[in-house]
Amino acid sequence: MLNTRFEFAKKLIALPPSLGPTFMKMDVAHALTAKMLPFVFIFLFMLTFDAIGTLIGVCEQAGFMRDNRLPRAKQAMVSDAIGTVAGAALGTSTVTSFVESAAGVEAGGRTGLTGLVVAALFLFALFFSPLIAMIGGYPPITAPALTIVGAMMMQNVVKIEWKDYTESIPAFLIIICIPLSYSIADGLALGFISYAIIKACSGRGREISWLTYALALVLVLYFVFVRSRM
Amino acid sequence: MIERLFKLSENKTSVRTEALAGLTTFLAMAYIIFVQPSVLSGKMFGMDTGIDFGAVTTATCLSAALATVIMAVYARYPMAQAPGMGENFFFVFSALPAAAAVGFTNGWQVALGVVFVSGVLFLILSLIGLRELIFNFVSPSMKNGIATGIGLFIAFIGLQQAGIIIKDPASAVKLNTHFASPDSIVFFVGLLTSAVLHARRVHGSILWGIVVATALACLLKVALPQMPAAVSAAHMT
Repeated sequence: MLNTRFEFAKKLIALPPSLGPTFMKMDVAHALTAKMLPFVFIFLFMLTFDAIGTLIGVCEQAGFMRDNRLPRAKQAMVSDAIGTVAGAALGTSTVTSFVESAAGVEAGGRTGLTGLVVAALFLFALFFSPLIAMIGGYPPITAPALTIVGAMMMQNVVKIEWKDYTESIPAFLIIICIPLSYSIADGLALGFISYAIIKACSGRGREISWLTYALALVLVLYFVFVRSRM
Repeated sequence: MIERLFKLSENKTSVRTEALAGLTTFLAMAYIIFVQPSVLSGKMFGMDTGIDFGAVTTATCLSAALATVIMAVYARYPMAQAPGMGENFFFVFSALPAAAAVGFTNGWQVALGVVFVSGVLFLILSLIGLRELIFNFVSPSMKNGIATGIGLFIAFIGLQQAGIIIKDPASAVKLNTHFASPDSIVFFVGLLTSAVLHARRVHGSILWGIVVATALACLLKVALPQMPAAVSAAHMT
């Protein structure tokens, strides 16, 4: 890989490539046809679960949760939504919260100022693409960061109520299925479906809200009628 | 002004810490700047989707910056945003072929339209608070399970991308035992540098790991071709 994917930056600075070919090129009229609508809902599902999963993961890590609730959750989600709408208009796929934010949280980042720095660097990167390509294009350099972040996020495992199997078995399914299915959304879905069934069938169905059951039902329908036909 | 807007001391942080954290997060996710255009244009898979590589690069940086600023100022969280992995693969391998199958000649534009509409729906759901409802009714065990699972997932992605964990026809995945390859050396030196600095509570430990790994990669790139042919051949596999 060092041979093929690591190249010394030939120059430091280059002008950003033109946005022209993709800017405002999305075709909304045809996206709203019957054959494309299921894809709208799959994207909506992926966006919702990826965003929520990532927000919960990183905010647990940062210690932002208050009484099991995330303050300003609505604002955080609106940010995701506007990012996706703007991204599609500019010419890129679904914009969502990045789990890599946990690396910055681990380095001490706690406020929006961290985000402003990240945003500035993304704009900056438009001009330094050759140098960033050198580092970002060769995974053995960036992979240790991801591995360390994984170790940090693992700390949350002790906060699971392992003795209460109606909680711990669905939580465990989430833990093991997210990496093995290679999808945060799919891992979450399997966890939520099993959560509703296990609670309901072990005489503790009243502990959880009707929304949990509704969600589980929607997810089952999604797997049976959408995913199994793809 | 920064202090008033972000309440730094209340959050037990400083401008320096926040700047370092921002740099760390950025470097950890900077791969998306190169991966995203490579995926959407189809270059990564040796195909042509019709989407311009350069335009996606610029669109990716601009949308990431915009979304992250909104998250920073409106939600005030240190949460970075960018085009997500997973959604981009779904875009190229599911939405785009579906649009083409329907007969749309501008498949990628329809697929972008699909993303646009899903974003608008998501915005409406967020504003009426439905997603917040979903978010807040998840039990503590489940939330911690999600954080743990994502931790495993990103470590898994990292190990795979670095070529440390590779695919195996019998067991799906296995350890790559070419420990003397430059890839493995760069990875393990970077990992252990970060780990040791982290254990010693050094600020920016992850970032230092990236710096050391980059320096080592440069060194190996220069040094290996100068070694006797047999050695460099063994290292270049």
